[in-house]
Amino acid sequence: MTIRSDRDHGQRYRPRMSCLKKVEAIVVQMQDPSTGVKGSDQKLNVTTIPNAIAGQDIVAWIAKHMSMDNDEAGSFGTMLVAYGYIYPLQDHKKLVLKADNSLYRFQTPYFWPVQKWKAEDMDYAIYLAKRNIRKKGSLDAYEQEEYNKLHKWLNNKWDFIVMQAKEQYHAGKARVKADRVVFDCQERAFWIVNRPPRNTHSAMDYGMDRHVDPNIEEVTDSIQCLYYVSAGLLSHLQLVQNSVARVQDGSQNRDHITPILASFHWLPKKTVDYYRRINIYTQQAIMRSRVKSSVSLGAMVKYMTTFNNHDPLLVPCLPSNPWQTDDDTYWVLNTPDVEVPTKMRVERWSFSFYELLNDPRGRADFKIFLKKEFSGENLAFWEAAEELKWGAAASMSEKASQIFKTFLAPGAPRWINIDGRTMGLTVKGLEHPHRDVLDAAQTHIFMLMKKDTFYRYLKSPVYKDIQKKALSPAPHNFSDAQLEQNMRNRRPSLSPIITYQKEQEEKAKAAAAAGPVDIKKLMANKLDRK
Amino acid sequence: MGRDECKTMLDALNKVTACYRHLVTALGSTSDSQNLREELKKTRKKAQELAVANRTKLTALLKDKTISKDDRAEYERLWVLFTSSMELLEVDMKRSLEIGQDFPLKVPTRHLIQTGMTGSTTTVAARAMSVQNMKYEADASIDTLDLKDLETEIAQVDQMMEEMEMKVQVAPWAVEAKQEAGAELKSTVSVGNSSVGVISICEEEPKETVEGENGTMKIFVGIIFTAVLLIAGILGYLVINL
Repeated sequence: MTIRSDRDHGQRYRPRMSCLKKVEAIVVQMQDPSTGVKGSDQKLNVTTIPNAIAGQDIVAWIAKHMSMDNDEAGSFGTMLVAYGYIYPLQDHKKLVLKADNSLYRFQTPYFWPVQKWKAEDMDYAIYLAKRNIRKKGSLDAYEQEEYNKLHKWLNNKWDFIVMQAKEQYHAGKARVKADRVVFDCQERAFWIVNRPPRNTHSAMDYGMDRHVDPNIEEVTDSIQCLYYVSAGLLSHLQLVQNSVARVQDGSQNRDHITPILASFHWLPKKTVDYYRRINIYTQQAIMRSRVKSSVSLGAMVKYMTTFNNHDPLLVPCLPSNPWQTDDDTYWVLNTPDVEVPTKMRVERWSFSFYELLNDPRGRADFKIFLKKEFSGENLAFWEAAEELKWGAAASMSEKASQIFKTFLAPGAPRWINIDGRTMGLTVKGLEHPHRDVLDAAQTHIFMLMKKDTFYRYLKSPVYKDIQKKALSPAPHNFSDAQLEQNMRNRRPSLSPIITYQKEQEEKAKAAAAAGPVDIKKLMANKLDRK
Repeated sequence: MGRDECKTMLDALNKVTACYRHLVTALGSTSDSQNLREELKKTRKKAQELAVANRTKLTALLKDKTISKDDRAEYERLWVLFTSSMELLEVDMKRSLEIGQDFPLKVPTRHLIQTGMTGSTTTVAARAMSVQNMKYEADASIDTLDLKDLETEIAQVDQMMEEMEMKVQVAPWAVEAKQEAGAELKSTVSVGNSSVGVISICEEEPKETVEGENGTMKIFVGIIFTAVLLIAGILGYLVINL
């Protein structure tokens, strides 16, 4: 048997697709002949096919019905097309909703995307075989590739696929001409959504499959324990009980649940367990520590106003967002080891010390400044403590003793200046080192750097120099043709293995260069210059 | 011979499966109707009968220990055909149950999707049942009654598949296909006039992607141009002379 059958216990539920039921409710309203979008006829060579709707009508209906403006209605419509509820009649490969006269049609419910049913390879193979028959052997390039792949993988079922394809083809010919055309268009649209051609975005990217069906209501644990009844049996008992109640008062199965309500799946079972959970939750909520909302909201507002211009979702990033225009200049200009950073990046360093340290280029710049001031030991200690915290457990004791020798021992070459109490605690902790043994000292040093060195850095010539040198790239303005070109020229970027190796090399170089500074040699150099 | 009987029965099951799929795609759309529900019911019953017949025959053949290796390989291949057919049927039945529940026919305001399909599916169903004309005799509330039957039938099919899985020792991945890639093109020689029309209607592909068709397009345009010139010349000659 194939793995597709329900009898296996594999992961097949797709939780992210639970929005589909809600979209269906909208589509059903949209196609209503009286209150929905008005359709017209599509005139082909010999036949006319009804129920073709224009893009602008769709956008207008959505904007009116859902109280949106036209742009948002356009993107909502594009989502409907991308999921496959509506398919375009002209230019069928591009799944966007164009708000002009281009025609669309509704997809039949069999071909709607459903959370439970994934588009299967065998069906795709049958479809490709049918298409092969119709086009007499000249499939598109990507289709031919898929066909060959499927022929290899599904080889044991290939006889069946060929037989079924021929039968479905002949059965299709038994229909009226217009219906045949419509069915072909529907099937083609379905497979373009579910098996998109190369280099196109697909709305069917939904993340990972889950093992548990997220739509099932949770059956009570307490009753299960009391009666030693399994969850499946209990839900069957519930069904029987419900049907008996229905027989008694003569109502139908789903009378009380309108389609839109049913789409929300929000009716939980109120039992002992449900209330017990609510109790625990509220008890824990009371015990939490609280901050005045005026304070926290003030902090949030300040954060948002500072970072507003740096958020690519709110303000378009310069030169252009690579995810939208397929042009990766933004990433090239913002690599961790770039020579000249962008203006936005440099501005961001001035927001807080944390931002400066987090950005590798900022940290490098800060290091240059500290080297000039001969006070690099603070940052070096902070970095060493980070390495201890996040590093491998095997090398921990070695690293700890190294740090002690270099930074904490009295008379050490790079002795850091922390208060006596912290020093005592840290030294004691270092006898039995663990990951967080340097936490107190690290925080102290961080605060020292933040309150003193950071502000000096921001006023220093090093920072001012880099502010002047920073680039501000001009925004890109791509036309549609150029966007298509970009999409076709997409190439994989630098491999993360190479970036990691580069990082390691840099670290090794820095470690070699940051050995204890030999004062004598330094003075000798200075004297020599005279 | 047992094998030929099996083959004919499998062909019949295959035909019914294909027709059932065509019928299920029409569910919920504007070509849905009482008739369609009844056709679905009849096709399903036929499929069930064929399935049971096939299963008994094939299990009898496979249980026989005295057959040769080639025969056994052949029966395993037929078995794989049978199980794939049944899987398609099962999925289609489950889909039709869901769609049937979502689109009831007996409500005051039906909301069937306007898909543009207007014809009926009688011919497909007739092909499935191998009859000339379909007779419709069901009563008005077929859609709700039928759904209950459908649920029981799905449970039956489920159970049958599980039994088959447990009892018959056939390794489906070990079967080798007899047909090679592109086999479907060989026997459909008579494609017919109607489908040529369909091809020209449906293929509205953008010109950049299909380079091969550009050459034929140019020749086509050239022919039309010369034809138009000829007609214009003839008309001009006639006008001058008359």
